[in-house]
Amino acid sequence: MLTGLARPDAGTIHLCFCAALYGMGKAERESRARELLDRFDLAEAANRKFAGYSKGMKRKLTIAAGIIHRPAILFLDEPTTGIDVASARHLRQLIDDLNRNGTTIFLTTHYIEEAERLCDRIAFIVSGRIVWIDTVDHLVQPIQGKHVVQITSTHTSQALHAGLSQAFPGVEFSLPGPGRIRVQADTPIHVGPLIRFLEDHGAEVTEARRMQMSLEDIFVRITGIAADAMRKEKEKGGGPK
Amino acid sequence: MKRWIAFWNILLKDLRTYYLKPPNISWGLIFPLAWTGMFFVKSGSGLGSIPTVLPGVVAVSILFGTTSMLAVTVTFEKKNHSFERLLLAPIPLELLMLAKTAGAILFGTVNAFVPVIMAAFLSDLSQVAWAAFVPAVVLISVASTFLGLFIAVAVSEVFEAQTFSNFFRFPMIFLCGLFFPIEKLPVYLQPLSYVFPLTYGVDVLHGSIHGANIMPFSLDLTILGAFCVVLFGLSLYRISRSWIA
Repeated sequence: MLTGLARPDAGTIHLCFCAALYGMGKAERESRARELLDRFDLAEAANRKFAGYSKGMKRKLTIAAGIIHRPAILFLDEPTTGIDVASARHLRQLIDDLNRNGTTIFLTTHYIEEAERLCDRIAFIVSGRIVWIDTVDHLVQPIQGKHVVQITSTHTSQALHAGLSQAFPGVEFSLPGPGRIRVQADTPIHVGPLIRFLEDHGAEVTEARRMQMSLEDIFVRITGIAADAMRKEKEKGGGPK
Repeated sequence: MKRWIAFWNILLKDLRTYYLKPPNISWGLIFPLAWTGMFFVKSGSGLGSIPTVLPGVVAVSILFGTTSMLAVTVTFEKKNHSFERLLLAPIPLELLMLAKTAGAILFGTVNAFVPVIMAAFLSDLSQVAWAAFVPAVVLISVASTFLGLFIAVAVSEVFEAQTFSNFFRFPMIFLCGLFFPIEKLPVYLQPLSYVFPLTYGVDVLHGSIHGANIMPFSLDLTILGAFCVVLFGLSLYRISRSWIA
């Protein structure tokens, strides 16, 4: 994400300056700046100094400056990180519009749902290397038609896990954490028999929740990195690049 | 044409953002005035000493005016990431850096003419060889600006650029023939004088104002031009290696 904006300049002046760097004439850059300020909902702040903009406004102006010369390819590095919900929604909409209008966009993000929503092709990057790249449709294909239930109970054990697998053939069980059992199957899961089995074996069930499988599950499966952990690492300033 | 639109707008933005700010304008005027006053007090010989004092005041005004500005327009912008936007612009690095330094060159040249205008009211400057004086002023401005650029791109903090500049500025002022004629310096210091670009510029200024040059103007200006090319080339090399690669 480009951040190199001149702090003392107003939004309009900054956009016109960026357009001039690409050799746009005065009349053309002024009209294009007005058009972008309108489109990015910044018209009212056009003559305010950049330093006084909110984080979301700064991000929008930065992107406007990046597209003022109508580039064919745009690189956006975490465009919605650290800004308020309304600005993030607006930015996603703008990115989607740009893409629909023919701009190829390379977007890096830690928000998997954002990638799923905005991108045609997704590459998973771990420690600076692309470990998987495919279209969204292909990526989610293995999880389409899968049914998942997460059960929370007072105790879990390997013996219980083995018992469940034996009692319910065709259903996959895993223990993602203490007190949690993940149940996955190709057909709808009936929770009544499961709960009865667990209670008969001394485990009190406190919750049984149907889960929607998402791209995040694919990400975790492919990379072995839990998305939450990755996001927290990033927020702390570290994490995978 | 597109490149020149970019060039002109970078220069215009720098002029608006840095050089035409009221504190800078007043500083640009006061500084040469202060130097002029100091030189007059030191010489103590009244208005008759203006032709001998003028080269020094002009040279020092240019040197300080230009080298101080690059720390802001380059080092500061690099530090706050504004420079990244410029490096991404589709213009050659040479043209970009010329645009970034053109403001300082103009500023230095204008600074140089503040004492000249003052002197014109107090003394007869009809004997000045302007055809040599003006190119010398411009070339001293360019060389000093590129020296400032060379320092500005070698450091990462503004205060480092300012401090580092003084390692060049003060020896240059004392050894370039402004305060003491080079031939009166200790023998072991004399070769050092010829390492500094200001020596050659000052020689032309002395010669064009009161005919006291020690080398031919053409040689002085050629060497000064060579310093400009080398300093600019070294600065570009440094930027390519450290800021882009």
